[in-house]
Amino acid sequence: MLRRQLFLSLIAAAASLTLLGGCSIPSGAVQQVTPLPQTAFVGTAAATPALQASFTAQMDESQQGNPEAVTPTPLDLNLLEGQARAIAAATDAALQPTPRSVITFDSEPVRIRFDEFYDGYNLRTGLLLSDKLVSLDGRQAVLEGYMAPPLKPELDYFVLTRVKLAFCPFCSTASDWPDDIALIYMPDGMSTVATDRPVRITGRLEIGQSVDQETGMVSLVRLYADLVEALG
Amino acid sequence: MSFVRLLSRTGMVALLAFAMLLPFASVSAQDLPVLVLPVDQAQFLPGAVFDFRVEVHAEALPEDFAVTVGTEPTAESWAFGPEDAPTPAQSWVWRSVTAPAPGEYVVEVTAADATTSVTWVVREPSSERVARNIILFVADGMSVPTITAARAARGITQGRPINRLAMDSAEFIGLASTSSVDSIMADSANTASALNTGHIGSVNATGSYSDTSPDSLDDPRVETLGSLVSRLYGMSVGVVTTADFSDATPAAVWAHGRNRGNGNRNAYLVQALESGYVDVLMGGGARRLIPQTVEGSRREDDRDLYAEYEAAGYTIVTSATEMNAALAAGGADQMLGVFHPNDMNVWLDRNVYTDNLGEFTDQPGLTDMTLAAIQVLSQNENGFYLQVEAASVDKQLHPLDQERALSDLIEFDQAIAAAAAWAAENAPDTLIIATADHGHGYDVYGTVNLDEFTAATDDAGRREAIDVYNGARYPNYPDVDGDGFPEWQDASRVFAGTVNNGPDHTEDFQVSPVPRVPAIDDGNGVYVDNPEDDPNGIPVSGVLDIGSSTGVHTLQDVPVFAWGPGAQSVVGLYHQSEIFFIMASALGLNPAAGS
Repeated sequence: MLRRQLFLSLIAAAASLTLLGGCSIPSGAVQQVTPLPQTAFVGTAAATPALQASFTAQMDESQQGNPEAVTPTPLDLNLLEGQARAIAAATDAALQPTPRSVITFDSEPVRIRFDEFYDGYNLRTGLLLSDKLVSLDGRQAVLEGYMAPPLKPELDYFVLTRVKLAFCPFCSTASDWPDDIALIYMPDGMSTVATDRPVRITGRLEIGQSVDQETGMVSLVRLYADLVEALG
Repeated sequence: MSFVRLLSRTGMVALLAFAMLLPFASVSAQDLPVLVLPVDQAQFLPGAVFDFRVEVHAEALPEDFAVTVGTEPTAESWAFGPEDAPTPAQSWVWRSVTAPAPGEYVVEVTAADATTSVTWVVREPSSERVARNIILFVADGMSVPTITAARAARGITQGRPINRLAMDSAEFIGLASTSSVDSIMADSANTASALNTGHIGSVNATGSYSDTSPDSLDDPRVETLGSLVSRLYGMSVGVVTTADFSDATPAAVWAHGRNRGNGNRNAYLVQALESGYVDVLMGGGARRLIPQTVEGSRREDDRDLYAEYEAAGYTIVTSATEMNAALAAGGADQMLGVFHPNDMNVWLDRNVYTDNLGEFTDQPGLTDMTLAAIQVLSQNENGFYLQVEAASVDKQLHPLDQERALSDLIEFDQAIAAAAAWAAENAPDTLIIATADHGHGYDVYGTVNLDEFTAATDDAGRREAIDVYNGARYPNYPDVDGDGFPEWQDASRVFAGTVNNGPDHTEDFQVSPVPRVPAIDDGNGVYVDNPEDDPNGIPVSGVLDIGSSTGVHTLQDVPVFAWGPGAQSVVGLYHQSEIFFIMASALGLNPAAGS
């Protein structure tokens, strides 16, 4: 806990410095960026833990703790630390995408941009996932973007967006989530705080619509982060 | 509707069987909060179906608890039962009851030596049907100043408008207030619901009175005009919108729920199907029709509504081309038109800034959708009820985008003109009403000399470029192509037009090539000026809480325009729920008499 507090302070200080400095944040995909060594290191951890078999039992507990949430949104969530990650990992195992044409990569991790995620949206059949995205399912990847305004402090996951979001996509049920987002699960034991600087995530990429009926948590692209870097 | 239970006017209901349902407890004599739904002064058509709910906010039911309607308790058997509610609330609900005769019904609830009395008003129904069809046009967020500005943008000479709007030709004009049962302010859910049910509900609620139970879909329901015209006359019902059609305004035609949020929106599309009376549905919202397991879905269940609508007989189209082909082929008596994953794009982006469309370049306009819906619905000799919404007058006034809002208002006006032309030629017995569900605080207070404004190097210089009174002269929005929409981007003297509330932002009075985002989250939930929106604009201080990203609705009464049989009834000033009774009267609806 002490360790986390320390990280929080560091990142909070970095964020406020950025604001005071009045740096203009470029919109659009981040290209060449340099990590800032002093404060950029948010956390690392060993490889993502294996699928949790206790998924069902955990969900029951969360239901009991939150009996009034009729149509929950992530704002309503009161998940225990690490629980969101376990739920997502379980869904990943259950719902694996079928690649149309597999792309092989020379080395890992593979860099992917948000604008490489989809080939379009078919009004009858939904989003069309790109071959590159589908081929990266379960592989090590690097993705850059911006942290959406946090749902609540000390979450073990956050939402990464292509552009700086003007609003929190989860803060209003009326707001639709943009497609070009990814859920980033922090390394075990690490939680996150907001920064308005671009961040670079390295970790295992998981693809496939994951909607939990009980929590309403929805994601299509998830990264189980080994490394989270704030970029200057 | 076979389960409709008739409620005798002179008497009903002593509740005797509660002991079997809940343990009695002794409650000290004190005033317990009692909630009776429908609320005091609620108005009904005789025979219209509604749910009746009584809540006592206490840990347990007082021993003397009793409910009567009228004076003489009857032994009639009622389907009632306790419903779960957050403690401490005890509640009972009677589903699908009716008040069969005109007059006043007094509901008395006794609890802990106190009596709560509520009066329902059942109105005298009209005895004559003068209109076969009704088309209700709703421009979401439209106000008199937006209409004035749209007209002025199309040109003024010697003080007179050059190119008047279709709304200007209304045979009769009225004014409607929009307040809610729980607030002076309103949103699109309860306002559209008032238009469609005659009941004034709570903000965010549709087709129901808001109760206190956690379930936002079990709230006591009131019957919609769509349901009435379908079951009494066999009329067809249609809904056209430029929004996602699960949005508040379109859904009010059929939906019942307390909360317009995501979960209920998904439920509303199921309700549309299950209602059995929505024959045409056009707008955006593909994400809510595909099951949650499919990428890009916004559903929270595995239902494939495309398949369900198809199985129910709907012809499904997903582009203007497909829509026109289906109309040309003929034969469709039910149509589902889905033209965007979310809300459809606004006129300005569909026609000028087409880069903003992404891959959805083949969306029909509001006029096209309106005429398509009419073509499908008018096959029914029994008539039709169609609600047409221009959703993005509101959706663009929220982010303070005057050109996008006014363009969609003009598109709305052109859809009215097209419908009126159709009615004149094909069905003069069509009542057309055009109104707004609520207003926004937009108005024009002068003009801006853009050359001066752009050349200015500081805020004082930019403000100097704003001209008022006689200095304002006329804006010079051209309409070279004569389509009725000004080429906003080609003007050098433009409206000094603002919205009277909003977040911290800057304002440059000029058309934005991309839809506006005036304020952004600073990372801590505080909305600050978006440096990329109107970067050379005049700073405007927020007058809302710091967590507000856009402007909000305002209190003003909204105009009501009408043409055709029954149109004269819109004259006057009334709550917008009266428009339901105006439409019902034109149709001669008397649910108590049956069809």
